[in-house]
Amino acid sequence: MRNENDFFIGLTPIFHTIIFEMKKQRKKLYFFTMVSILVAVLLSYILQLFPDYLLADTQAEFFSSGLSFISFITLFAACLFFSGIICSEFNKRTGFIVFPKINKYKLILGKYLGNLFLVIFIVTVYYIVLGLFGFFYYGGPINIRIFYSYVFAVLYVIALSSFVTLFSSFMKNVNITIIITLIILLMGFNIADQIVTLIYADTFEPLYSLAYLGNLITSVLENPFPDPRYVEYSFGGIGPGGMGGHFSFGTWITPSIFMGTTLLLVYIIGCFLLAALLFKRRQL
Amino acid sequence: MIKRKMNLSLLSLSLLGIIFFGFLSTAASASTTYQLGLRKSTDEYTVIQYDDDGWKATIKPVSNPKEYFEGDANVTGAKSKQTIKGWVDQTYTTYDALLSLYFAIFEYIAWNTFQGNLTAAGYNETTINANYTNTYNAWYGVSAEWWFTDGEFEEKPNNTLSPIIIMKDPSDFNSILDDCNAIIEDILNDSTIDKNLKFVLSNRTADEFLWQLAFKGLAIAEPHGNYLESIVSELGCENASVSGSTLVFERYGLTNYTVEISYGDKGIMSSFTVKDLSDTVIYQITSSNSEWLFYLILIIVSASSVALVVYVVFRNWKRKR
Repeated sequence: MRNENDFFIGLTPIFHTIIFEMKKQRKKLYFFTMVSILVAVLLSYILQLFPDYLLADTQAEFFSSGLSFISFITLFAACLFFSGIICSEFNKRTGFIVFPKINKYKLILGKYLGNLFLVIFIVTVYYIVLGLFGFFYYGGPINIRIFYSYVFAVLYVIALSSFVTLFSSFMKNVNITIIITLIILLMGFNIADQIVTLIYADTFEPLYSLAYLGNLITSVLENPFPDPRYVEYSFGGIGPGGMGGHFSFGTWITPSIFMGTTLLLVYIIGCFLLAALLFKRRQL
Repeated sequence: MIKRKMNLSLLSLSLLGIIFFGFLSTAASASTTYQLGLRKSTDEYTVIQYDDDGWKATIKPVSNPKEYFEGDANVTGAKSKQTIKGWVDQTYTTYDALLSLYFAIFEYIAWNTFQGNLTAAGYNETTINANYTNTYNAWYGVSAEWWFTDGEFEEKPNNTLSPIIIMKDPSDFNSILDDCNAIIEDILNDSTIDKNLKFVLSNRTADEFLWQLAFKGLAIAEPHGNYLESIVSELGCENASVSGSTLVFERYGLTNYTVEISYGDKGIMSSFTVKDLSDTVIYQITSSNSEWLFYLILIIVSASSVALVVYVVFRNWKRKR
């Protein structure tokens, strides 16, 4: 009984930190919630007001096209919400306090969870708006795969947040963390994916890339699931008499569900462990 | 300062005036013609009644509703659905109208089969459109269609490009019928045309034409009653009449029977009823959709959001006091 009480008393600071962090970040929350509602309404309603912009054939295709910006929203939200989690403690020198009133790991965990709840809330709002319009245009029942997509979106958000937290653990400044993580996530992974695909074509799948893993959010909506997952386009023979070089370029569409889930979990665990180690080392 | 404020007020007034004038002019120009009521949405159709014996005794012993609708249309409780995907303005030439509105499917196939013979005899697109210069403006919509099934719907529709045709001027149907009948008459009297093609082609009466259109994606514009009245009167149908938004066909099979096709607020078919001589319903399809549920959810969510915001603002105000 006493152990149980100790356990709950131990959790209280985390809970208080979560509440505090959520209140602290509420302006960001309002901003991103508004943005996600606006983007969802724009993609799923405003565009549909144009009669020659054809509605998708099925509800799943409608969701898929409506989710084309979810990776941007989650990416920006993750960078802005999580970039200051650890480095702000050192930037403001609170991380160097020798006898803190709260365990530093509990503080970081509380801050992380508080921000995570907020970003998941933003993603949830996006899916709810999209789901409502999907219901409006296609009637019920709501396609079950939107829920699978939501699960992958949450998993993707956690992976992104752990990635940004990792950078936050060794960077000195919040703004630099935001810029660096944005560059890596927005451009770095995509450029690397293209180079790897150009060199290795279908022999090497860019499973290291968070951007590529994020494709699962929309591809899980497709029925049947994309197969083959590597598509190659080729053209040639455009010279006289059908002569001329043959050009081809390929692209990896999506990871498999099993591999995608596994690697997202690996990202989450790996980044957190590294972040914890770096955080511990930084305090010494 | 006062001058700046006055300038701002004048600017705001001018902008408001332009917007208001825009609304007025749109309304004024719109009221002179028929209005399109199509909306992107999904309607579900259900066979709520089918009396097989009554059908066979009234219409034909070897027929069933599958002649009119694809899938399990002869099963009570079977459902189909249609999703309106979008529409564009389209201009039909006489040749377009002949192929897509006038011909039945078997005539269309025969026309394509004998294309060489027809071109040689001067019945190709260019010559037909040169001789019959009318053009017809329409709203051309496309919809995804799931055929009738007594089980669960497949995820993918059976037809992704099912047409919805609404002529902007309903009197155009009469011109189309006259022109197409004249073309067919010419072909039937032309000795250079293959006899097999002549055997397939035939003239249409106004009733036959309207009946065929009803199954080719005919939809109507608002006001529905006036639009339907206009079609029926312009075509000069003898066995079709209008009651509100319902088109009533007097048909003859083994006995006389009536077919009532009602059009809903979007202008597409909302119910289909076949009645025998004694006005007993032997077949009926009705439509429904979930839009009301969407609006109900929207109202609840909006009301809850407003209540939450009011509560938070009130709480903060109270704390500050």
